[in-house]
Amino acid sequence: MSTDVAVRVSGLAKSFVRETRGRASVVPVLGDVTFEIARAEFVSIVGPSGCGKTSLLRSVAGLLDVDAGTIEVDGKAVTGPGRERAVVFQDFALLPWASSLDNVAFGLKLQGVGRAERRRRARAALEMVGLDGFADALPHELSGGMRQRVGIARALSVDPDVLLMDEPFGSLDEITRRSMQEELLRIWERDKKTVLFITHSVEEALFLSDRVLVMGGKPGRVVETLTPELPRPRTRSQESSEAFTSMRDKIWETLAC
Amino acid sequence: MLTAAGSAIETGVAQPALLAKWRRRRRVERTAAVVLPLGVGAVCALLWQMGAAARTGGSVLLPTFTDFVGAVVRVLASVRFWHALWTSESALLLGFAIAVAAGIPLGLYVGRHRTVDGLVSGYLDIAVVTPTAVFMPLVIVVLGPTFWARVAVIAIFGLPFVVVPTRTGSATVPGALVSMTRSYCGSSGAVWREVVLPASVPAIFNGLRQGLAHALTGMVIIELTFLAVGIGRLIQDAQAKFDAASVFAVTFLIVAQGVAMMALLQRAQDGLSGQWRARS
Repeated sequence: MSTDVAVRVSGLAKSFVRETRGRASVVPVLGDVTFEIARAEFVSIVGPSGCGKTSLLRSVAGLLDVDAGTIEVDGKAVTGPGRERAVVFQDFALLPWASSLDNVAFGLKLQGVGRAERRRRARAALEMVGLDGFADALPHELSGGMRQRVGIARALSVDPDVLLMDEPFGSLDEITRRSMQEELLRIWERDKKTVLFITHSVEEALFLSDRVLVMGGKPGRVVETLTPELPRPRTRSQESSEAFTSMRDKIWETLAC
Repeated sequence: MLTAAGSAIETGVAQPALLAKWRRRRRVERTAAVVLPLGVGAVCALLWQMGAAARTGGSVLLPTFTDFVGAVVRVLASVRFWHALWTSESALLLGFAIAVAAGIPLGLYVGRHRTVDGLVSGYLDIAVVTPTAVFMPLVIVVLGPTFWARVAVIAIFGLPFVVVPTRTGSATVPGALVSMTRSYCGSSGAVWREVVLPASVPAIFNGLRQGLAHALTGMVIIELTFLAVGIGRLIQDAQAKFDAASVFAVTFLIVAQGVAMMALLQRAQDGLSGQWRARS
């Protein structure tokens, strides 16, 4: 395996058993999903609801057992959650009784980092996402965008090799969403983490990513891989460029099939 | 003042007025929170006094309010009351402690395991809807007219009401928090310690309040019906002497004790929540 490959997914398949009115049936969600992500690459997965995007991300995170296929991160088979991966959740998953600082420090605490060190790293992560003045705020005192910044800071604080982001901006309003996209790119340009980003927004995927995997079908699989030819750092003016719009149209055509 | 150039907050013109208005409203709310209950209490006391005096001119069945207040003072000053209170409280504290020690772990565990929940939820429903008093003769038969019979009755009264809300709290812990904890390599113990337990605190305290109310009921019922000791004995003796004022006084003190215990539980909950918030 090349050392440039951070994540390798081969022949991944996953089915769930669904019970309806006492009758059980098997619902295949993922079927033969195969792709690789290079180190420091930003890859987005876009697809319609129910195509298995979140199941795929949870499998890579080690939160979901797979029926067939393999997942490797940094050359090691994934058998459960690992310190080299950190997840950013769509609904933020913040502890409602804990302050921003405590929420950011939570991942470090679970990984056995000492109190003084985890507080120092949590403060640094909060500063990185522009929330250094909100260390003592509880989640309900923060806006949606600020809560997700805390979620991102928590993931960054453990210094993972791979950042797994499950529709992190899906529940934000459009204005906050765009500002968070720019914020994420700023952080990514600085740290160059490997990112697997799940979204149902074609524009978001194109704006953020080095590569876009389009998922579709039942069971879900990667039906198209596109590489946006957009120079970095990305700017909003690129969204009206010919390269962006033609790529967007191509993804929509793929999704319509 | 709102101007075309900017809002009131930007110009700062209306801020002192706004703050003064807010402070005035807070002062009125705080005063009302004290004055209104006192006022209602005073009106009730007056109506009680007038009603009791007009009806009988000092009935043995309905004492006047002033007789009642006198009886409260008299009861509080008597050694017998404190001895009876200790007799009742020792059984209450032990019985409720057993209900809590068994109920919280059981509720937490049942809420997190669907199979176990399926096994015990039927029994819990029965325990909640069945009048627990029907078990008292059985307990007396098994344990005899002893201190432990009272403890058992109090525990039986309180247990289901501790378990059921705790189970609901534990079962409704957001799955995203559990997934998040696991994603950071949190062990099962960490999931319980860091997520399930703190997330269930409001439900647990709800269970404690309900359980305490039922345990208190159990304590009074068994002492008034099967085992005439403690506070129950005090009430029975006062009834036998047609001392209505003392019956009212002891009943009032039991109610006051229940309210004080609930307030203590609330303070404990607030303290615990604060402690959780302080950790990192």
